[in-house]
Amino acid sequence: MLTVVKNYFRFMKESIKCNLKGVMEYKKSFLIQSVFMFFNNFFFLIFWFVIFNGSDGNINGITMNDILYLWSLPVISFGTAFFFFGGISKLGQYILEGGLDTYLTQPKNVLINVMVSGMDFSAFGDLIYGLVIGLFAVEFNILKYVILVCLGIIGAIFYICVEALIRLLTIKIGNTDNIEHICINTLMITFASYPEAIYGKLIKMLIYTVIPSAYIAFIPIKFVQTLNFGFLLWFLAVACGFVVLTAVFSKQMLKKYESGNNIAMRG
Amino acid sequence: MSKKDKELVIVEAKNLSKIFEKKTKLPGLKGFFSPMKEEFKAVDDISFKVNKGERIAFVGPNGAGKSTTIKMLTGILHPTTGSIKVAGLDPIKQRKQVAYKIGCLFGQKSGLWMHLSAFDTYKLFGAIYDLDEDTTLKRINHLIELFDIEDLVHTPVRRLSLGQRMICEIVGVLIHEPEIIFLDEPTIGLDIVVKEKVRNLIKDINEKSNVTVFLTSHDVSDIEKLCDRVIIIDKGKIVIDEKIDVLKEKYLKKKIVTIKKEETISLEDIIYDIYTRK
Repeated sequence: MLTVVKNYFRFMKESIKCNLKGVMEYKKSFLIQSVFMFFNNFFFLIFWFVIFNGSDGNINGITMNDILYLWSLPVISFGTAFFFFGGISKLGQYILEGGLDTYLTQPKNVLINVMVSGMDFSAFGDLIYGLVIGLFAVEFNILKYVILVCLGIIGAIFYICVEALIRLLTIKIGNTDNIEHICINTLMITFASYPEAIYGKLIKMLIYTVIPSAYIAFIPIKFVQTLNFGFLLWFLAVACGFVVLTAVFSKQMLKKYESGNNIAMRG
Repeated sequence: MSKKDKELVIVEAKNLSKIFEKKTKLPGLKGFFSPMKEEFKAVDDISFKVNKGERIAFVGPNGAGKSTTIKMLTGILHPTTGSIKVAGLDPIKQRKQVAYKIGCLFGQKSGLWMHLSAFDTYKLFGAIYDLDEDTTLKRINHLIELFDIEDLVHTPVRRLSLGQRMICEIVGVLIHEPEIIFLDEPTIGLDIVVKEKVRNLIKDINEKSNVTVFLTSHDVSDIEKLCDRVIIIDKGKIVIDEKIDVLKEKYLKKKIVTIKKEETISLEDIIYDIYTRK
């Protein structure tokens, strides 16, 4: 068992190394996309600064520090998910074009193999942004910063699992690009970008169940802020649940994979 | 089947079928909400065995079921009915274990990473197949030397010609020393010189390492020059399963010979010849 885990880590490390070498082939594009994404995120914060400047720094119990948390931890999760494991967003395309064949003939878990097969350059900008804003959110408290970064990295599981679950539906319903955009960008990220206190009961029910915004933002942030281990356990238990759900669902769906003969290249 | 036979057989397919569901949309709203579903039998109850070290050509017209069969044998597709054993394992239930024993090359798809050199991808293959770094490097260097591709493997794959890429792809399939290689149209789109090189390469692998070769191709020369047995499939059913020599003897009884005359023949002579032919 230990050897299997060790082999998987070595395989993932080698895949990420290959991706980074690929990134270096297009250095300029990588840098431009990362810098643009960093500033794209930064502009959202400017609006919050303007709003809080016009008040006494506290709007209905919400402070600028709460906003900084919301723009660091979930963004670290997003950056980790799509920079290091960005291949997962190609899963739908692979299914439609028969590109999963290569992964199915290799002795590794198909989803892990696919997710380490590519990188989203711009997500590096998100990752750096989250790491920088995180320092300000924890007010340079090293212990809290380490916890925030660790939870941010673990939080990537939610993005990867939701992305995989939606993309696996491609096998049954065809193109899932719009569904993915609505679920991840419009719902999951948007709900995680605003303080929990503004939401009513119905939205709260949704973000703690089908749209796991609470687990990429509110629950881990509460742990960093309060160091109450109940929140940590809750966060880890739901993360494990998502991994199991994704594994079971992928096993069922891949049985129905129909392949194809499209001419395609990896990379 | 005796124990000796079991050891000899590397692929065994029994009553293998694959049915796909085809959706046909009828015009109008009714067609949108309830499309007609039709079943399409891509592979229809086929059975065959392949012995270790054999070079098999699995041929047939487009849509005959060749690729579907290969995909079932390699664990990509789940058969609707029937059973498969590859190297003594079930590719559906033991996909990962089977993957260590087989090498797959789909001529229309690349296993190599476009932005990287083949050498880098080979190293990644080592990690995928759990070979330690030393073993991976030894194996890569051995294959590079064996197939004389030192000048190709350090160039990004996207800069290689199709023929060069295909040679690198074949080498990539061999990194983990598979017992059987499945090659789906490995010479597709290649010129005759590269085709010949690829054929020799495959033959070399088979003769030097006793690797079983299971090949599909539309190129008759691939089959004739490379394989010792041919299975012909049409409309999902096996129509011929013979050794190449037997096949030639049984079916190639006619030969068309074209003769070119040295002296010029006038159109009048031809017409006269046709008119006077009995």
